[in-house]
Order: sequence, then C-alpha cells, then structure tokens
Amino acid sequence: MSAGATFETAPASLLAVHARRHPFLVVALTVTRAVLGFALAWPLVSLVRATYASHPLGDRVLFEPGALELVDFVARVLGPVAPLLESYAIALVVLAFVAECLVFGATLSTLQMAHDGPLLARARGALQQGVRFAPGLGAQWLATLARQGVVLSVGALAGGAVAHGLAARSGEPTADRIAVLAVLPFVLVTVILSVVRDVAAATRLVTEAASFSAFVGALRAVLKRPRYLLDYAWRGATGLGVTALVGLAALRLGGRPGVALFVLTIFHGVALGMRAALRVSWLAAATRRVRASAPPLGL
Amino acid sequence: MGERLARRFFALSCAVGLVFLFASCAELPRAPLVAAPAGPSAPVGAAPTPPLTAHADEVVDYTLTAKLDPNAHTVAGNGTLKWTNTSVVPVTELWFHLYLNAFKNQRSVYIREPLGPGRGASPVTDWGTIDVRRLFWREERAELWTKAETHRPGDDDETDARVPLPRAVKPGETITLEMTWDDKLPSIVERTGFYGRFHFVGQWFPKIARLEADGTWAHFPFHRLSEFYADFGRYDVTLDVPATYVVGATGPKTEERVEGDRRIERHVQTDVHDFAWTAWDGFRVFDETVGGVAVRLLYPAGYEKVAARELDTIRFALPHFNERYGAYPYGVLTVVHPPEGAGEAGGMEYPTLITTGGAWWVPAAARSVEAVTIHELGHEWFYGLLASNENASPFLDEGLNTFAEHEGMRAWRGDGSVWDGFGLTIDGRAIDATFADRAALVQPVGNAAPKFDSFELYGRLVYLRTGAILETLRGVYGSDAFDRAFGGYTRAYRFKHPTRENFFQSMEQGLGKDAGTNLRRAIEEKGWVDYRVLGVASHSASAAAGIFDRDGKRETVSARPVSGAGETSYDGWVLLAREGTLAFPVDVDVLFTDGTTQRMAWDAREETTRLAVKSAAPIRSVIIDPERRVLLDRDPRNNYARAAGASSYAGWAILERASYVAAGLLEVLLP
Repeated sequence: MSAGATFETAPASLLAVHARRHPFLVVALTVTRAVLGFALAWPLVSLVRATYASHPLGDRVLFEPGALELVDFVARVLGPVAPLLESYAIALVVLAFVAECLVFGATLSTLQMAHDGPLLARARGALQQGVRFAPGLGAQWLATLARQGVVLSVGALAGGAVAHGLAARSGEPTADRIAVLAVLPFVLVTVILSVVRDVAAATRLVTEAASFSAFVGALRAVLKRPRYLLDYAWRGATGLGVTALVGLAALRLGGRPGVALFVLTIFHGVALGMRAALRVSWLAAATRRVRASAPPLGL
Repeated sequence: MGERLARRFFALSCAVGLVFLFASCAELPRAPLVAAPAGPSAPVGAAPTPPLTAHADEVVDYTLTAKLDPNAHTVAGNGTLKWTNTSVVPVTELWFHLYLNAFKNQRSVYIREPLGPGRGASPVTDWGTIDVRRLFWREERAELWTKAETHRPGDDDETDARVPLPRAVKPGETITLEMTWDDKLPSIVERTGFYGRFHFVGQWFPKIARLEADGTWAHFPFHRLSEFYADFGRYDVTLDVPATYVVGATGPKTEERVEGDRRIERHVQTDVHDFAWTAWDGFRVFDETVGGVAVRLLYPAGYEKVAARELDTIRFALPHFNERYGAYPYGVLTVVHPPEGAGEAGGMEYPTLITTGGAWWVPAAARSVEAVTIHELGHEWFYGLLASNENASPFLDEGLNTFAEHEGMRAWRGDGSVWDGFGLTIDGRAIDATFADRAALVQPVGNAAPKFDSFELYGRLVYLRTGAILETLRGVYGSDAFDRAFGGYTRAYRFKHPTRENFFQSMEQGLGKDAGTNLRRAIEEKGWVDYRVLGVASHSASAAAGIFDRDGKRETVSARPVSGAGETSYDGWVLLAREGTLAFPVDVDVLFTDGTTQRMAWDAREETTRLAVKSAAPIRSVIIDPERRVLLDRDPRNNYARAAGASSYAGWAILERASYVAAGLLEVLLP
C-alpha cells in the first residue's frame, strides 16, 4: 500500500472483506450510477418536457396504446437532434468512465484495507486510492473490452460461416440454430474475460503487481479455480433476475402517474441498489480469493 | 408489392432501450399449423350489399405450355392467345409486354433508372431474357414477329414491343395468335427468377397490353416502381417440371400426371389478368379450406411457425375482406413463402397466388409476417379484382391496399397491429402519419409510377401517404360512412379497371363534397394541413367595468366578479389556426383547472377562429383533434397549449424510466 494513503494502511482481515461490511460502498456505487444515469438521460427528458409540457396528458401521452405520439416523437423530435444527442452521450460516457474507474479503484481499495475512523475520512482515503489506481484499472478495462470485441468478432465470423455453409444442406433455420451454438463458446470466453479482468484488478491492489502480470496471474487463477466463475455467475444471474422482475413490474405498471410511478421509482431504486450490492459482493469475493492465494504486501 | 418500407423506417428509428420504457400489453397466442375452422370476421359497419358482378369480361384467352429446365433456369413456352378488340376503333397494331427483358442488360429502363436503394435494387448476377420465336396470326396465316419492333430508336429497352398487323382488327373481332418463346430466368430479382433450385416465374410470357375503350394501348416499359395492367380473361396453363418439384400456380390444378422424371400439371382459371407460378423441390405443403377457399401454403422446411402465422392471418383476413370489399370469387388461394435467400420473390401478388416473407426467427411481437400476408391478400382486391392501371395510378392499388392492410391488422390485433411486445404497442396509423409526412410536399401522391424520383418517395407517398389520407377521411367523416363509400367502390368496380376519377367520385358520393375536395387535393395536389393553437386565456367573468353614459347619467362601474349559485364563473377563449390546402373539421377539447373538459367543434373552413368559452373554472389547456383523427396534420405537437399560469407537466414518467435504463446501460459498459 502506498505511503500516501491517508486512511488505514493495513490490509483488512479476510472476514472483513465482505459487501455486508461496507454498506457505504453499496450506497455510494448506487448513487453514482443513478446520478450518471440521470445525466445520460437528461437531454431526452428535456426534449420530452419541452414537447409535452402543455399536452393535457403530459408525457403520459407517449405511453398511449398505438404509439401515435411516441413514433412521432422518436422520428420527428429525436431524429433531427440525434447527432447532438450522440455527441452528448459519448462525452457523458467518457466522463462516466473516468468516474467509474475512480469508484472501481476506491471500492477495491476499501474492500482490501481495514476501515476504521470517521466515514468522511474513509471516503476521502478511498477516493485517493481510487485516483491512484484508476488509470491502471481503466486501461485494463479498455484492454478487456478490446479482447472481448475481438473474440466476439471471431465468433460472429465463425457463426456466419457455419450458417452459410449449412444453409443449403440443412435449411436456414437449422443452419442458423447451429450457428448460434457455434457462437456460444465465444460468448462464454467474453464472460471469462470479464471475470479475469476483475480478478486482475483485485490482484493489482492486493499484490501491486504490474498490469500484465496481474492479468496473466488472474487468467491462470480463473482457469485453475472454477470457483471464481461460480462466484461471478450466481451474482450475475441474480442481477439479471432482479432486472427481469423489475422489468415485469414496469410492464404491469405501464405509464400510469401518481402512486404507480412512485412504486416504480422504488422498484428501480431497489434494483439499482441490489445490482450495486452484487457488484461489491463479487469484488469482495474476488479479493478474498486473491488474498487467500497471494498474501498482500504488509502481511 | 410488399409493404415493408414503414417497418424498416421504424426499426431504424426506435432504439432498443426506448422499447423497454413503455407500457405493457400481453402477446397474443400464435396459432399452431393445424387445420382449424375459419374464425368469425370482425364486425363491419353497415356496408351496402348490391349484387356483385359474377365474372369479368373475357378479353384474353391464353392456352399455354411451359417446360422448366431447373439446371439451366429456362422455360420453354408455347401456346395460343385469343384476343378480342373491345375498343370502338379498328386496331392496326398490337403491343406486348416482354417484362423479363428488364433483366437482359444494364440498358433496360428497369436497371438504368437511378431510384436509390430499395426493393429490386440488388444487382442481377445472372441475366434474364424472353425471346419470342414465333407470333403467328392463325386466321390470317401471317407470321407477325418478323416485323415486331422490340425497342424504340435510341433506346435499348426491350420490354415493350409493338407488332404491326397486316390488316386492322375490327371492333368486337377476336383473333387467335400462336406463340412460341424461350425464357431465361434471372437470378432472383424483384418478383421473378431463381435461387438455387427455387424458381419463381412471374411475367414470363409475351403478355398483350390492355387496349382501352377509346382504342389507345396502355403499354409501357417495365419500370422498377411500376407494376402491371392487363385485361381479364382465361388462363389455361400446363406446367412441365421435374417430378420431385412442388408447384404453386394461379388457379386450381385440373390435371396432374407423371411422365418419367417429369410431372405435368394443368392449371385453369377464369376472370384473372395474370398467371404466375413457382416450382421448388424444397417446399413443404399445408392445405386448409378457409371460408370455402382451398388455401395452400408452400414454405421451406423449418418455417412451420411462420407458416402458422401466415395461415392464421388468412383465417382472419379472408372473411374480413370478403365482408368489407366483396367476396373473394376464386376457389383457390396459394400462399408462397420463398426461401431466405429469395426474399426478392416475397411480398408480391398475383391472381389467386401471393408471396409472403419473413425470417424464421421473427418474434411474434413483430407483426411483419402478418402484415405482409394481409397486405398481399388485400391485393387480391386492390389489383386483382379492381384491376386499375398500376403504372398510371399506383396509389389505387398499393395505397388503397395499404389502408386495407392497416385497417385489417387493426381490426385483428388492435393497437399492436405493427408491434406488440415489451410493453409497447404500435399501430400502423402511427407509421402512416409520421413517415409519410416527410415526403408530403415533394411529389404528388397521384403521380404515375415512373414519375417518382426515388424508391423512398414512392414508398412514403404511394403506400403510407395514401394510407394516412384514407385513415384521415375515415376518422373525420366517420367509419360507417367511409366504409360504405369505400366498400361501394370496391363492389361497383369489381372485375373492372377503375380509374382515379372512379375512385374520387365513389368517395365523394359517399362522404360529401368537402371530403371529395380534400381527397382530390391530398392525392393530386400535395394537399396538406396543420392545425395550431395560437392562444388560450380565461379570466373571472365580471360586469363590464368603466364609465358609462346611460339615460343621460354618467355611471362608473367597478369590476366585480359575476357569481351564480355561490360560484364564480369565467370567460375565456381559444384562438386556433389552420394552415394548408386541406380543411377537415376537428374537435377541440378545452380542459379546466377543476378537471372538467368541454368539447367543441371547429369546421376549420376559415384559417383562424376564436372560440369563446364560459366555464366554472379557469382554462388549464386546450388541444385540437385530441383523438388524432387528422393523421395528415403536419405537426401534431402544436395542437395544444396551456393557459398562462397553468401548471405544466414535468415529464416524471420519462425521467424515471430513462434514468433507470441509462444507468443500466452504463452498468453494462463501465467498471
């Protein structure tokens, strides 16, 4: 751990490396994501407000069956300003990426280190750690995205070749289904790469290893110990389940205002919070396993 | 031709994330591919039921034989054509359409027209031709083809041939022509050609043009945007294909035999104006009788679910259209789903035979399979029975049929007639209203097909704009009156060749002069309209204040609210405007702060109007045409306004959902 850290400098005991011991982290991650989501959505919301503020139904008119107003809005209001919205979205995603790298680093370092003292001081210390690790973690993230992109591209090419090759013999539906099966292993590889990325990030914070050696070590560890994948998978599946349940609730509630809208807001907030908790939980699990196999500096 | 432009526009326009934002509707169950009785059709407004014309005037009588070589992709054809001069003048020449020559070289009108992307734009990888070997006038014992003029001077297009006659054919006289020709089918391109062993054979024989009553020939080269025009008559066609091939063709099969490795089928159909067929050894077959019509589905292996959706569509739409537009008069209907690589053959209509399309994986929420099927079925009326000139007035078939398609889909699937899933329903009217407007002022809807400058303009105007025009008439003047007028047109001109004037007059008779004027302007003159709220205000009603000289006395009256039964009353007004060349009467809803609403009517004859409003509460807002009956309204977003000081709507519903979806997207992308 760097001498520059202003909060705790000793690694936390393994028992402390759990999401439930860090509710502040979960709240912080939830709030960060909610704020960034709000910022990303704001231009759309502004356009809706400007367009339908005077409509007797307000923005609820966009939820009317048949979508007369919705299609009109998408094609004739959003369409002309699409380039502007795109530029805004790209800029916002870049900013959000920087912010999330900070949060990512802060989360990992908070999980890794003992945490006593006032909340504010701990937060400040975590952010300082976030600043320290953010560039490396960001680079690692981008490298993983690139690797995943290459894998998926190869998968798509392979799937296309399978579909094309089998179409004449087996008919398009059968060929397409076999092609999907052929692509699945590539999708699995991209998931494994996500796991490796997070384990490598934990490794960097635990051992202060260089980026590449952390990646290689993480790759070996993940391939050697399937528990990493299981830890990641059940949390991912739970997150998807929560998202699906809340999606169903949203469908049921429709575009109704008042209490229905309030309830939906609560549901969405809970979903965001649960996914944040699962994320922190996964990073804690990865940190524990890395710590168990490679004791951190200072211990 | 298949209606799919709108769905493409929609797919490009709606981001997946938006789809998840909106309210829910359950998906409808999909019918299995098993025989089922025809369901009852949706109720239709009281339509007149005059006796329907039973048969068309028989002007042509083709007896043809065609032999398919599936390896060389050729068709050897021969036969006779009996043709009657139904005009009032002697005829000294004949005109024949040789449509397959559109794919002969890059100098054909079809290929050289720069119409931009769209259907039929895919390059021809294997050229197609039709070579007439013999055209012999039996009664005169004269070979005619040696003197035929297959193209005009300086123009290499060979799709429109003139054949001079050695003597004039008198009015009422019937002649017999013996024909021999060879087709080379192109790689699958719009409407016709081959894809592997799949063959779709449309516009494949020397087809005599239609002679109008005044003696002028309605002939034209094959344009990419143009379809066809021909006389009714009898087609007796014998098809010779490999024994393993399944055939779909116009008309019922009257004979079938196998000779060695060949199978010979004879199809005979009267009262039609074209004949198309398909042959492939990969077809699966499903037969069912719907409302007395023997329906045969031909589809590739693995497309059982798609075929079930198509059959389900026919089960609904055939009785529905029978009731609205007059009974389908034929005993058979063949529905062909081409294989995936032969999509250019899909979405097309021929008498008693239609082609559909759609990938095997198209989700049930997307109604594209149903829409294409119902659209092509609708053409059995708007083209088949109402055989208008598709070159001169494409809106009469494609436009009217787009209306029929959307009306039918809406009657069947309600608000989710285009899409119904993930909490979002989209109706065809939304597509018509939004996407047609972009081209509204560029070219008239009523253009002849060759006059449209791009495929996109043609699609937006002929299909969508016509649909929006008719939906507007129906919404404004009432569905009962509209259905009577429209159904009256389809019945009156059954087995005829209606012109645009026939259509305009039919609609005007049923809906009145104003409607007729609007219809003509909208079709012929790029007619448009935009309603707008210019202002809205209300104030507490009071006795007029000020200084008044009355009965020789000066009296000063101070402002004092007028009260009745303990309540203050309010005076208000809304100022409305109508721009454009169309004038549809509209409803105006005035909403008050106490939650009540007052509906007023505006005939919109004048360009502006100020409507006075008396109420028990201040006006909150006003909206013109709240039910969006006028789909032609160019900007529905200026149809409403709120009074000064009235609270506005903050957009919470969108804010909440959009923020959540955006946060979710960032979660996927970011650390």
